[in-house]
Amino acid sequence: MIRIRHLSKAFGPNLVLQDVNAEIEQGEVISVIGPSGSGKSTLLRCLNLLERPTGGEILIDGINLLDKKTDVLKLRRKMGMVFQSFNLFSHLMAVENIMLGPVELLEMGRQEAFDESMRLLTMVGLVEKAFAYPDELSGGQKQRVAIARTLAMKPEIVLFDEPTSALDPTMISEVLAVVRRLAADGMTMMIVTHEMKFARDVSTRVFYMDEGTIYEEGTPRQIFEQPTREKTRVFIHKIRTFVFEIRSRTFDLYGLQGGVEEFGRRQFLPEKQIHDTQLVLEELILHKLLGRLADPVDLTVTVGFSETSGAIELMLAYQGEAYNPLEDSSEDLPLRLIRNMVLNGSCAGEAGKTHLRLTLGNNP
Amino acid sequence: MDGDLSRFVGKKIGILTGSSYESVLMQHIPSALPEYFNSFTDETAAVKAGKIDGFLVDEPIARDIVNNTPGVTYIRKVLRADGYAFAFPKDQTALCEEVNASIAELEAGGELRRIDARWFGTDAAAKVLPDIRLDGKKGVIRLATNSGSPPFVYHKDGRLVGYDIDLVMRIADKLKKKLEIDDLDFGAIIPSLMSGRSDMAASCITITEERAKSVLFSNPYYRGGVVMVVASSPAAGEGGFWSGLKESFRRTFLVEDRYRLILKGLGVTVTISVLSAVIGTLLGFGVCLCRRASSLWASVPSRGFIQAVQGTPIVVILMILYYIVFGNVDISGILVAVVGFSINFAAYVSEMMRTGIEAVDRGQHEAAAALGFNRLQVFTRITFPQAARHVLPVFKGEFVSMVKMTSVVGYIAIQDLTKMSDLIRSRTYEAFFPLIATALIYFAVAYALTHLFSLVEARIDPKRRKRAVKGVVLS
Repeated sequence: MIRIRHLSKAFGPNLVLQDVNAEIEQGEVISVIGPSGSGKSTLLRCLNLLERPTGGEILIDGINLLDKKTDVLKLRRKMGMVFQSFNLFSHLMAVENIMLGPVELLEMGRQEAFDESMRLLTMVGLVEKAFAYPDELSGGQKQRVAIARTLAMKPEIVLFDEPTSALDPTMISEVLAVVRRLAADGMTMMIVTHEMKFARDVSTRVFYMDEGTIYEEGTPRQIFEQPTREKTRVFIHKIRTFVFEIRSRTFDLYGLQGGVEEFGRRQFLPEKQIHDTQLVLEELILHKLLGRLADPVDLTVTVGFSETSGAIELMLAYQGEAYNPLEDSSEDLPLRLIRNMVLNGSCAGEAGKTHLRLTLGNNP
Repeated sequence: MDGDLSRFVGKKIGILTGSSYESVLMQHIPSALPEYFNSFTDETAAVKAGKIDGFLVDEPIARDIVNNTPGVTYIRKVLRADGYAFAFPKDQTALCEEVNASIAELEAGGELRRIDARWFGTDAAAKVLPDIRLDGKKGVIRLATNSGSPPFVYHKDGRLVGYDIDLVMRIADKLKKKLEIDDLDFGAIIPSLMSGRSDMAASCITITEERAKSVLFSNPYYRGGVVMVVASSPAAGEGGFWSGLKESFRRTFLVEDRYRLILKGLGVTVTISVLSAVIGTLLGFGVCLCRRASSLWASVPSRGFIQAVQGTPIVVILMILYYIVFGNVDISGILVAVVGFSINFAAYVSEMMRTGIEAVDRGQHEAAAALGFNRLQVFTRITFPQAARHVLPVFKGEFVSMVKMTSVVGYIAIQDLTKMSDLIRSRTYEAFFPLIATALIYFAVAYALTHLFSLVEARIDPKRRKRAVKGVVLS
């Protein structure tokens, strides 16, 4: 359906995309992941010529998009686009936002367009907001209207440009649920996203972008569990872990807790599990480890999440006295809290540092 | 009142701007402080209010003022004997000769004396122009005059009348020429002759050496002199406030059907304002597009245009258009005013539009483009409705301010609302009532127009629209 060959794009002297090659077939759901600045959004925007590529070609059903003779507006109607910042038309009500394209561009009758728009609003769960203006909607609601607006043009493919990046964490799932439903209905989609769990669940193929090109592609299983190339591995590892460095006895506890919380939300962990992790780290570091650290303080906390067991793994590497809370025989409150939540743990010296590993149970 | 002028030493004395009175004043009372005015009406009001102690004026006009205004009188001493003559551009010697010959004939035939008696007499019913149809077989005389100098030139029953007009009609009749009369500010008469817009001027103009350097004078047709108008001892009781007001209303609007002048002026003001707003908005839109264009050939000139127009007083723009750009073109002053105000309005409106358009967020353009709208559709469906909402409140203010600004068109011989009220003031010698009445009319016009815009504003404000989609039914 779409073939991309040797596509490149430069902004002045900055080469953002180089030699991108890909094929997208009908019915595929492709997630595009990768570090920021790797050209994910640019690739998507090149596909419907919101950015003009500097080289290469894009074939849509055999027609070259970059040919001067191609009717770009017509091809764009086949490709819907959902933006990070929703971009609803602020002077129109929700239902008018959806109707505008079909009435003006597809020459659909107003009544038919209206009925179709109401059907789409029902599908995204917002029919009662049909006569609301964009500034009366929450972020998640705006994005759902924007998705309905795109679908009203009956596109053959929908491009999602980070559809949840501008949303509060509480609103992300309502938007993703709509996208999941589209995937289940067989809609061809290309999604630039930072929601790894979602990418993994919903897509048929994953593009990992780095160095301005599609660095590695494969099924979600291949990319998330057995990435073959070095940079992919580092990226996947990074999104699965949270690292916090402590360099002083008066460190930023709230920074640590905030980081753990954000990490937990990205992994879709239940509130309880996030809270338990924060509690164990606070009790362990403040009451047990600070006194055992050697000067200068050098403690690295790594929080990881195991997809297979669903458990949280903590790794604390530091210079100082070896310590394992499970082998501590005292009976104070911090220790009782820690032991209550830790399933198993080990402590060993490696390369001049003490490594304390703890696994937290995922018990309700 | 005696002829002793010593009590005016060091006092403020009114002088008509562009007149020859200043040299007369300096000759008689060298230490007097001249104050400059644009009309005798203003000077009369200033004398009555005590702002000046007197002003100089030609004797026949002084008589007219005193007849019409309680509380002033004039000192019966001629400060300078003067001859009044017609003025011509330097190159119109032939016309000047012909006019001189006609004046000599009229004087010999006693016609000049009869004109004199008619316009300086007390019989108002006799003050009518001769019933002459000018056929214009030998062309046209474009006559510049100033209607604020009764009994020489003034408005009566909606027509220009007076000694000078009477005389000029008889001369034009002898020369078989038609008359086209431009009513200008006094100060604009000589520039109009020099620029070639007018062929002849008649406005009780005194012959002076200085003026003779710029224009050609005919032989004098009237001999008079300069006198000084001063406040008389306590004005006779003017009745109560209300009866005074009633009398002012009668004199300003009802006598000689003067309300018709006001209506005519109002029509001119509204015509200029509305036409300029429409053309200026279209022009401003064009300038705005050029200003936003990526090409320097479009954006730099449009930026220059905006800065140049915004930095130039509108009066100067009008004068340049009237005397220089269209100086040799026979074009109605109203048209020149529309051009001038359109240009001025365009410069301001284009910048408003630019900010309005730029306030619409780019994301919506992209979303519309991604749906498949072309650039024109994006503009008309998305950008324009939103920009209009941003712009309209300021646009409204700018329009109302333009309506008021049109009051300067008197400079280029247009009789708008302000000019008409000036004319009425020049007949009634009453400063305040016509001024305040005019202010109220401007206020009413501005209010009505603002209200009209508010209706449009309400229509395009989404929050005040009915929550329904046009042309569909809810199933």
